[in-house]
Amino acid sequence: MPHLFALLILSLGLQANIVDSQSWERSRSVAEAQHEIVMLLIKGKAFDKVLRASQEIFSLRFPYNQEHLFVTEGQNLSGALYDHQQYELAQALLDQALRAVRSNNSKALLYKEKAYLCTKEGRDDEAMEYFEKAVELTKSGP
Amino acid sequence: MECLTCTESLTAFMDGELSPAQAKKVESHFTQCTPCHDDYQSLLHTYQLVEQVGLLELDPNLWTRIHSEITDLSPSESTWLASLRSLFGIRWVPIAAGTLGVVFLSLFFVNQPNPEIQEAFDEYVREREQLELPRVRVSQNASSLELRIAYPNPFIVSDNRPQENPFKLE
Repeated sequence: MPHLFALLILSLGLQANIVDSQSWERSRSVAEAQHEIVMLLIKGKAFDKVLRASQEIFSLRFPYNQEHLFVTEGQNLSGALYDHQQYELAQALLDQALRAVRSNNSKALLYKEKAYLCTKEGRDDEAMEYFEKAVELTKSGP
Repeated sequence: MECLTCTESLTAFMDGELSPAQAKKVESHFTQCTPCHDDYQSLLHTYQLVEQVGLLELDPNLWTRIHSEITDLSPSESTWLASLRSLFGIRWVPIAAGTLGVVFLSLFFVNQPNPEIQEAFDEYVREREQLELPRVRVSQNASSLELRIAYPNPFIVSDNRPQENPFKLE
């Protein structure tokens, strides 16, 4: 009888793992496609639609260990918007990414990115405020 | 830009008093923000209505009359300065000036960034700039391929798609 229970628990755990990996694969695939849409919108200069499209990415549920992809995406898309002189949009997109991540390390990286964009625009005081926030988050642990 | 800043700048924007950069910021905000766009439309309508009203012919003596009435109503400068002096007394002036000086100095020192954090930030900016060196800044007319290389899709597991046109002749 105990063997049967152990087998049951093992099979349930395995099934949950498979469901999790399928759900993650689906989220990843949606994010991959949505990234291309956002890049096309930026390329086509349809900037008014960018935040709505990027929100589709950042509202996806990513596992904790894949959160760094949101950070990279935030850095990439805000960089592309910055290159198109859409400074306010770049900051707003980083705010979306900040709302999507949970770990302090990810938040710190995104705050540093906000600080970097601010300093490139000559907004040094604001940049310093964001960088101080990043330092605080890094100190308070992952 | 925040809605409050946009609303406050709308009149200056309509009067052409903003710098080109500020005007562009305001314009780009209200084209994306419906409430601010409504405010802009409403202001524009008001301006158009005002423009339709012709100039009024004023009595040339009107300003003289208004000026004399204002002068009669307001107390003379010497009166209020004298009442201020009598209220506080001349000996309080250096004390007040000293207090103000201390407040300004403390505000100055409080607002100074922590030098360690400032140094760390400068170091971070230097590192970021070095990281950006290999990445060529993409022009606004960059092709999809250039954009794909500069800002790769982080969600792709393995990118097997051709990076160049496979049908292109050498």
